Amino acid sequence: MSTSRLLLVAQWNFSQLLWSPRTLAMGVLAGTPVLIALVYRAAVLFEIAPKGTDFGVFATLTATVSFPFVAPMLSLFYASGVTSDDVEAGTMRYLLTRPIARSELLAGKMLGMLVMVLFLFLPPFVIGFYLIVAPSGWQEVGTRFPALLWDVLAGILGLFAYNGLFSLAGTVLKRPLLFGLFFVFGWQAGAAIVPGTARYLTITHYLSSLLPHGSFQGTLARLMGQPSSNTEAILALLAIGLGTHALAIWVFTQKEL
Amino acid sequence: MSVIALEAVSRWYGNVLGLSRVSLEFEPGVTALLGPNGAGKSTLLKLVTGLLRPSAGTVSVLGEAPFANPTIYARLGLVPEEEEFRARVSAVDWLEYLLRLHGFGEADAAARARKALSEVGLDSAAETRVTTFSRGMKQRLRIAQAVAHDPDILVFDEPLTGLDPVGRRDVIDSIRRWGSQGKTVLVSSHILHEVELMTREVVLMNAGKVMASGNIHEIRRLMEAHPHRILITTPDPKRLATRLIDQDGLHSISFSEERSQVELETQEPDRFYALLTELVLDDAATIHEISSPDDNLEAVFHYLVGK
Amino acid sequence: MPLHDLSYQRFEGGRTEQLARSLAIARMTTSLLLKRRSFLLLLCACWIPVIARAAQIYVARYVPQASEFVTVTARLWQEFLTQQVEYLPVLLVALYAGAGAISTDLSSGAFVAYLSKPISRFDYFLGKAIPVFLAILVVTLVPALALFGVYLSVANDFGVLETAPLLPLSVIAYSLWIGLYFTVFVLAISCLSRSGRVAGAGFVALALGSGIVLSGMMAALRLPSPPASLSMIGATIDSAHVFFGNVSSGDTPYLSIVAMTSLMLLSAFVLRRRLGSAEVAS
Repeated sequence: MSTSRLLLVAQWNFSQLLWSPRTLAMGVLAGTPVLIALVYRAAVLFEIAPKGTDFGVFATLTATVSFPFVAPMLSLFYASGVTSDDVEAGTMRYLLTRPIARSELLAGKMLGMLVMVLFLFLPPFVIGFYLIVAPSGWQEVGTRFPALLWDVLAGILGLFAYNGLFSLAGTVLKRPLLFGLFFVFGWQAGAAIVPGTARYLTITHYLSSLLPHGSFQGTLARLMGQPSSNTEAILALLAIGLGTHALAIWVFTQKEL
Repeated sequence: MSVIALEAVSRWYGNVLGLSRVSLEFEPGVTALLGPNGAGKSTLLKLVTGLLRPSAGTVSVLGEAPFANPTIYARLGLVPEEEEFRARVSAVDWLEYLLRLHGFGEADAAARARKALSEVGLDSAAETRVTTFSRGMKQRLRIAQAVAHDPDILVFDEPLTGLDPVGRRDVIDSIRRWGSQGKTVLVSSHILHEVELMTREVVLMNAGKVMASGNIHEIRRLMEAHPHRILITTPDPKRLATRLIDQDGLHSISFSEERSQVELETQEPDRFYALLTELVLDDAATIHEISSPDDNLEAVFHYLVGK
Repeated sequence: MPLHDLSYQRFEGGRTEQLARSLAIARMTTSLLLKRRSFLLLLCACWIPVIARAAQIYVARYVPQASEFVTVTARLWQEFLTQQVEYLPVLLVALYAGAGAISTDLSSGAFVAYLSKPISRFDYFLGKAIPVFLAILVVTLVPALALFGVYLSVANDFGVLETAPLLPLSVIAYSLWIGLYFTVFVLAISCLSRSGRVAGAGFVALALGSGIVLSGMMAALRLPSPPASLSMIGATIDSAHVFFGNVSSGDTPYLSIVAMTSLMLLSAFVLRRRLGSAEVAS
C-alpha cells in the first residue's frame, strides 16, 4: 500500500468535505456543545440555573448530547457516504480507473472522513469544556483535565468504531442511513436494557464504559449489566473499528461500481 | 498477443443478458463499436476497463485481467458515458488530483493538467468550477482527463455527445491522430457518419452479440444476401445499360434518362468497377461519376441490424 | 399548401382532472416503492409492535390471572400510536419513502421533466406526498384498525367502545395528523438537497435531535424537562392527548398542536419556495 497516495486521497477527500455546504449544516450539529455551554453560562449569569458543579454540567452534556447523539450522527452522515458520495457526484469511475489499488482508494477516503468527523467533533467538545469549567478557576480545569483527555480518547475511539461500521454499511447497503438510524436509536437503545450479552454488540456499551464520569446509558441499562473494564472497552472499540474498516475495504475491492 | 482480447465473454445483469459469448481482439489503431441502445457496447467497454467482471469467459488487456488492476490503469484512459458531474472543484484541480493518483509529482501534474485542458480547448476555463460547465465543456473535460497521462489505450464511450460541430470535428481529428500514433483506441458511438470519419475498422453489435467485425468494406463485401448497388452518372444511360446488361453477376439494372443515371446491383462490385474503367478507356462510354450508395456504414448497419 | 399555419396549436382533446394527474405520479411512486423488497421488509418490521399489542388483548381476555396488570382500555390505542412514533417505525418509513422523494427528482432532472407536463408544482407535491402519507398510515392507522379487529374478535363485549365511543374517530384523526406532519416535514427536507442521503440525515438529525439536544440542555442546566412542544417527537406524542380527549393538567398538548402546525406551515413555505424557484428548474 502506497502511503503517499493514500494520504493524497485522504487530503483530497477531507478538503472536498470541508468546503461542502453539507459540512456547514453538520457544523451546526457539531457545535451543539458550544451552544449549550453558552446557554449555561448565560443561565448562570442571570441566575436561572440552579447552582451545581460546573464539571457536572459538562459531564451531563457529554452523557446526554455529545456521545449518544452528536458523535453517531456525524459519523453516520459522513461515513455512510464513503462510496455513494462519489457515485452521486459522478466521479467514481474516474477514480476507479486510476493506477491506485481500490484498497488504498477507500482507505484514503475513510481516513479523510475520520479526520473530518474528528475535526468537527473534538474542537467544539473541548471548547464546550473550557466554556463550562474554566470560570470555576484554572485549578478546577487542571483537576478535570485528565477527565477531558479521557473523554477525547473515548471520542476518538468511538468515532473510529462508528465510522468503520457506517462505512461498511455505506459500502454494502443501498440505504445505509436506515441501518444507521436503526442501529443507533433502535438496536443500541434496546440492547442496553435487555439482560444478557446483547449490549456487547453495541458501541455505546464500550463508550459509556470508558467515560470517567459515569455512563451515558440510562439507569435501567446500568442495572442490566456492569460496564466493561477500560482495557476491554478500548480493545473492543479498536477491534470494531479495525474489523469494520477492513471489511469495508474488502467489499469495495470486490464490488462492481 | 493482442492489446485487448475477449474470449467467449458473456455478462449477465441478473436475468438480463448484456453480452453473449463475445470473442474479439483489438490492435493498435482506432476501432469503433457500433450498435443500437442495449447492443452491449457500454458493457463491453466496462469489461475492458475493468469496471465490470465477465460472468463467463476471459478479458485480457495487455495480457492481464483488467478488473481493479492498477497496472492496467497506468496505461489506460477512459472517457465514460455522459453522467452528471457534480464535484465542487475547478477543472485544473480535478485533473491535477487525477494525475497525482497516476504518480506524477505536483509540478508535473500541474503542467500536464494545463496541457490537457489546452488540448481540448478548455485553457480559459481551467480555474472555473466544473459544476458551472456546459454539457460540451464537461465532455471536453472527460476527454482531457483520459489523455492527460498519455496512455497507450484509450476507451471512449460516446465521445461526441454534447459537443458542438467544431468540438466534434476536433475530437474526431484527435481520435484519428491518437490512432495513427499507435495507440489502441476503442470508440463506441451511435453517429455512423462521424464514426466513418474516424475509422474503417468497426465492430457491429446488436442484442449483446457481435454481428460483424473488421474493415467496413470487407464486411460489406461478405454480405452476399445484399447485392452492392452501383450508381453511375452518364450522359447516355440507355447506351451504358445496353453494354452492361449481358454481364455475368449482374442482379438487376435500371436507368433513368431524366437523371442521367444507371443503377445496377451486383455481387461482384470490383469486377464491374474494372469493366467500367475499360469502357471509359475504350471510348465506349462516358462516365461522370460512380458511387456506391450502400457501401457505407449506415447501409451495412441497416442490413445487419435491421434498424 | 405551400404556407403552413405556424401559429400556436392548442390541444383540444380531452384531459383528465387535475387531481388525476397527481394520482398518476402517486401511483407510479407507490408502485416503485412496493417493488422494493427492503421497503416491504421494513413495513413488516414496523408491524411487530402490533403482534405485542394483539397478544396483550388476547391475554387480557383469556388469562384471568393477568387481568390485574394487563388491561385493554382506550389508552391502548393511544399508546400504540405514540409508540410507533417514539420507537422509530414512523420515522423509518418517512425516511425511506420521503427523504429521496424530491431530492432524487432534482438530481436526476426528473423534476424538470414533470414540470414540462401540464401539471402544477402543487400537483407534483401532492403526487409525491400521497405515497409517503399512505406509507405512514400503513404503520399507524392500518395496524390500529387491525387491533380493533383483534379486539372485537377476541372480546365478547364492546366494552372499550362503550366507554369511548369516539375512539375509532380519535385513532383515525390522530393517525392522519401524524401522517400529515411527517409527510410535509420530510418532503420539505427532501427538497432542500439533491442527495437523498443528505436529506435523510437532515431529517433524522432534526426529528430526533430537537428532543435530544433540548433534553440534554435542560439536564445540563438542572432544569425540569423541556416542553414537549419543542421536540418533534415529543410534540407528536403530546398532541395525542387532544385527539384522545385525555388532556390533564401537566400536559401541554395544545401548545404541541400549535408547534406542529407552525412547523408544517414552515415546511409548506420551504416547499413552495424551493419547488417554485427557477433555480430548481434550471
